[in-house]
Amino acid sequence: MDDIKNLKERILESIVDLLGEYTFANGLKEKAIAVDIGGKYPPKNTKISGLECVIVPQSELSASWMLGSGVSLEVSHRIELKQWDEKPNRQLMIAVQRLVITFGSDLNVGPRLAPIDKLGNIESCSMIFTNYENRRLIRNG
Amino acid sequence: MPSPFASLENATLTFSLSSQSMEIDEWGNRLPVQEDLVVRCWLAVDSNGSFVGDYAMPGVDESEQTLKGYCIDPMFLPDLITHGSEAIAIIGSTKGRFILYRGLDGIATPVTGSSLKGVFRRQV
Repeated sequence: MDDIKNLKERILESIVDLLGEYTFANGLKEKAIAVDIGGKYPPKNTKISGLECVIVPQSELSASWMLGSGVSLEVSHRIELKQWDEKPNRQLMIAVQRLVITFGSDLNVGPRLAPIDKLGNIESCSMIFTNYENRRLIRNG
Repeated sequence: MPSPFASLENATLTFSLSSQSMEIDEWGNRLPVQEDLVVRCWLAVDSNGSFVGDYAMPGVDESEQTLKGYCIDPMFLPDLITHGSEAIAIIGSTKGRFILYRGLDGIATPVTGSSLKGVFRRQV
């Protein structure tokens, strides 16, 4: 859990000025960055504006067989960027560039989805974050 | 003045409302503390909007029923409870969830209090 908090802080440091806001039902506001499993956050009746960043912890799991005996198990986290502003802007592209610079090869950037009005799609991009601390070598025998 | 519907009371709705204080969840997200608001009320089946029986069509969830009624205590719903708010409902001895519709129907008068309309989904 500490590595997720650490990841959130590093993301905040690099894109804090680009992030939008959550406005909760009680009127209080918060930077639009969240750690979420299963769509529980933000709570109901929260309005989201601007660029949102959602970290989905341990969303990906992959195993690869090593030479000899053993398996390398890799747990990765997904970082999703969503642009809720309807006016076209470059915030999401800039955020992706900054995150790539911050995390280097630990970050695997997925395709960017362009906004499509007719389908109600918003601009979004999802990335997979993996680092060495998330790799476990399991030996059999 | 007490509600004229007090003798008909048959249901309780428990809404959760965002309070002004914030808490931090296990992942470090800040979110408003939720407080319960219990509304005692009278609810009856709305014959105009019910899907039950002969009117059931493919794709329609028959465990849902449209209900109408009035708030008894408190007599007036606070504005914080908006259209689409969900409440845990106990109607008679049946438990379920109540999803509130708050359109023009929801206009309150000083004598009757706030009217209620919404969909009740039985807990199965």
